[in-house]
Amino acid sequence: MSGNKANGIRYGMVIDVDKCTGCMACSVACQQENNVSFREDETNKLRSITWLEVYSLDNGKSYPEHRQAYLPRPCLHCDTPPYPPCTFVCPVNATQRDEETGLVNHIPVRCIGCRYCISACSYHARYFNWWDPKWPKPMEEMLTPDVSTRMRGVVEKCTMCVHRLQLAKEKAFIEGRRELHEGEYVPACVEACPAKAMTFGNLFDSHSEVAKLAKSPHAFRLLERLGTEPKVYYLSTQDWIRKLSDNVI
Amino acid sequence: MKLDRRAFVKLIAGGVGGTLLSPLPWKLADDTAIWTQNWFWRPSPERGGASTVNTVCQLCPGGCGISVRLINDRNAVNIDGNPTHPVNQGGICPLGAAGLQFLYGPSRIETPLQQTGKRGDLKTFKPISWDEALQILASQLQKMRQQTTGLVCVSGKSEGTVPELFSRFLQAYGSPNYLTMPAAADAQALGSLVSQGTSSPIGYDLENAKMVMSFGCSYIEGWTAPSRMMAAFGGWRSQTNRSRTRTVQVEARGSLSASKADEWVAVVPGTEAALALGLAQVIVSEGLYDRSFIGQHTHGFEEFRSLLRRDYTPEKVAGITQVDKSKIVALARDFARTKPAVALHGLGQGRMPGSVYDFLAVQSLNALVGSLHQAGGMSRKPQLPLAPWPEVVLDATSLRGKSAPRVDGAGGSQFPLSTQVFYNFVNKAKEGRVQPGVMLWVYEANPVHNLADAQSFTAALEKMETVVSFSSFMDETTQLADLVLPGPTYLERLEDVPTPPGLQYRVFGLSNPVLNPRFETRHPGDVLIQLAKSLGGSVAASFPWSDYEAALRERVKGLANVPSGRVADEPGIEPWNVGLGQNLEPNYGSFDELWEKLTEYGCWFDTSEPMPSWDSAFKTPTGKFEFFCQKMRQVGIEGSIVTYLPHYAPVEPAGDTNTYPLVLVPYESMAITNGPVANPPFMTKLLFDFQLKGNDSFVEINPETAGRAGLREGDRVELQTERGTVKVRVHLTQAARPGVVFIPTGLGHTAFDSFIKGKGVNANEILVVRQEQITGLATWWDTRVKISKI
Repeated sequence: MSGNKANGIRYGMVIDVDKCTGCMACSVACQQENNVSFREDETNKLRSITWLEVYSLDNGKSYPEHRQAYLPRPCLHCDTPPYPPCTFVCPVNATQRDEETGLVNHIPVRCIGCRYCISACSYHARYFNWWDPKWPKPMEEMLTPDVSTRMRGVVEKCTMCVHRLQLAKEKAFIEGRRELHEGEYVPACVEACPAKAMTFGNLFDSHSEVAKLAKSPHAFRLLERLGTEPKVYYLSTQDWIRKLSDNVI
Repeated sequence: MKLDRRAFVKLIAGGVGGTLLSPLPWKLADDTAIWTQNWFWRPSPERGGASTVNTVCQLCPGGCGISVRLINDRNAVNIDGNPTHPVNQGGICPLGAAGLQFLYGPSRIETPLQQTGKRGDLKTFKPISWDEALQILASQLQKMRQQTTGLVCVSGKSEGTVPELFSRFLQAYGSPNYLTMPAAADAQALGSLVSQGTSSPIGYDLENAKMVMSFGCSYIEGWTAPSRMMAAFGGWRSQTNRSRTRTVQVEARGSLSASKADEWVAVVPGTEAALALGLAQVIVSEGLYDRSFIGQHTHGFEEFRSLLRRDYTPEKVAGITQVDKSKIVALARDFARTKPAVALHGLGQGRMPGSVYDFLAVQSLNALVGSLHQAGGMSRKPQLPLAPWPEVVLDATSLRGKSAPRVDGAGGSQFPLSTQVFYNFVNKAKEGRVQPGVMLWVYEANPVHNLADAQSFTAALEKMETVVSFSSFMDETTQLADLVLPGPTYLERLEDVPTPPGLQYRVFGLSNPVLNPRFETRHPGDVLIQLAKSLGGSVAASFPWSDYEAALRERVKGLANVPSGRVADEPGIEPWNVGLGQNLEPNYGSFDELWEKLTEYGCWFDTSEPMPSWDSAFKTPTGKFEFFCQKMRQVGIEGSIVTYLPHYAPVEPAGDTNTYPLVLVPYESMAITNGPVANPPFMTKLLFDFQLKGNDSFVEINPETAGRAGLREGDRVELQTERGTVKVRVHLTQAARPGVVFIPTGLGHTAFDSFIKGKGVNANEILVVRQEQITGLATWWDTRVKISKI
């Protein structure tokens, strides 16, 4: 990992796949929080935008040894040194890693829609707006002012609800603090999870829950051998789930 | 200066090189990107100050606390779980998280509507004023009352003050025909009545159980209170010690509930209860049962024991359920030796009543291991100490109505035990066997889409003289209404949300309006009070309140009068760790303070009611838990001795096996809502493309079954049952049991808006409903089906 480990911040997430009940509340909460647009027909999954996508996994065995599991996948905010694959290829600096937090941002208004980042991302975590987003008339009222809406021709992705970090920092500043408490800033998905399967925090803070869980013997990351150093860890005691995590197509 | 060719080329090359070295092109590209995104059609969310209001979700009976974020106190922009609420502990389900799509949904009804043309024609709905609407309804009710023709009410909610007001109105008006949508709770109420002498709803102390055996319940996919179940599941999976809670799922389909369980026991669909009896037989024959409970607090154990010995040996049960004999024995031993262990009842999300014997079988398993009314076991949902309303004032008409036979025959000679027989009403109405001139009210329900065998309800509706809908949305049932009295959505109204189903402690949720009603809607509670007033006489006297809030406050006063209970005002409250029977120091001094805090936090809870002791729990003729249910005999149900004992009593699927070689089983999931509201766009978006593709929905079948029928992934097929035909596509998966077709419920809407309607098929259109003979309870779990490629 890059950054100053001693007193730096590396926000990361641990998702316990065994606890996950597959309800997808995380993904709905994400859409609501980030003004993700929706269309009448969303069944073409190559064109559908879901910042936090839930994958369906199964162990490939026959009935009744068959088992399934759902795997929520936000942007993994790769800590690849020196740059994450997606930011490296961006010609207009629309996406960068904030080295103070480790969050990989994406600024849609800077984006020229070349989609290099989409091809560079190993995790299909980036989405392209193939159409202008439209909300049926009254639904525009439910758009949150914290996140601007995007338009046709730009890429978008999970930001780990970085606007929540801004709000938390402002609140701390007003209260005369420079540092955030654990749990003061969490993305919408983590907050929503009814089974408490998702944990979020500073991976560099060895006392944080997330750092402890990330060191669990059951922890793994997706496509670890690519060396992208994702900051989203998964937990499972199931061998078949762990094996699938390294399944390069 | 003369510009020759060479100088010109130099100038151009230098210019290009210079520009490229400068930041200009990059700046221009960036600017162009920004400028080209500032179009007027790109919505700009309204800016302003943010505030948060706590309330309680009412999209299902689960009763989660939610916090709604508002901008300028006007635009609701986000719904989060409320961390102070003990039921969901800050979590939220996908439906709750998508709640704003209902508030701002395009299919909201904006004013009262009167159908001036043919039923179902949306163009002839005429917007009318509330005064007009209430006058139309009141005068019709007045006229009907003189002629004593019937008023029937179908409520999608079974508990809470608003359903109570509906049932009260019917009583005062003089109609016995108050119906709630069918549910597993119907069978549980009857089963508890005959075996324990009370028909209280069930509560499970799941957080303290060490082994949870679910008989077909989608326990993490929407069964009882969904968020509570998911929170409990997360809790079980957080235990790291060796004695952590284990879950066993008995189910035909390899659902998430099955896959996530420590053990999945795959059974023939509909035989879950037979397996319960198989386990009971092993526990009894090996003497693993709780001797003190069985010896002192049960009646009819010997009869039950000999029935088990005769009909439910592991060999026989293995034959019925297709579960290995050795597995049955091992499961039974495990269940009896793990303390406390609990068995859960209610197939799927618990929307189907099923057989009363299925419940008795599962309950008997809990009884055998001494888990009834014990920590970590199965008990009753405690009652809320709400203050009663004054008695209903009855006049001659309402007294006559009180003793009149119900339209569904419940409580009559055919179904002496039942309090309602929903499908008898449907079938009688469909066949025109109800009196003419019936007025039907539909509240918080969408039976035209949600009820299994949906067409029958539609046909029944056609026979109704008048249909009145109280819905906030233009759903399938409301489309067919004559008069629509739209209620505000749950985010715009005050209402109580009583203890969610399956809970072991008391919870009283108060749903507060988080913003002003967006349309000309009116609270159904207020509508009823106004209606009663305009009817006058004893009906008006039964509704002495000025408005709904006054009626609600009167009941809530009861909470302030008990010495225990708290408003949940801090995060991390875990009432199941407090222990039932423990008093809680109230954090309010008076009713007014309680009400104020309730509107601020949304939830009152209490642990002071202990589980009943075995000495006093059973209100049966013997004062004991009755394996042999004497109540059944008392009310005149005749049959052999087996009739009175828990046994496996399958209602055979309709249709012959030659024409319909496969079995169709509906499945429910968290991804598609089955309630009165339709799936919001946020959730439909997340369906996999092997669940919904374009407008085609998929059924799950096993590759082996598919191979025999010559089907490949994605093939279009026709599913035919005795009830009807639908066209779907097939998804091959090993999660499906060979020989069984699994169809998702909740899709195939024909109403609402373009984001909802036309997606997939409605499973309810091809499910065949059968009724249990002695109770009239409905079963539609397994339907014979033919699948053919098209």
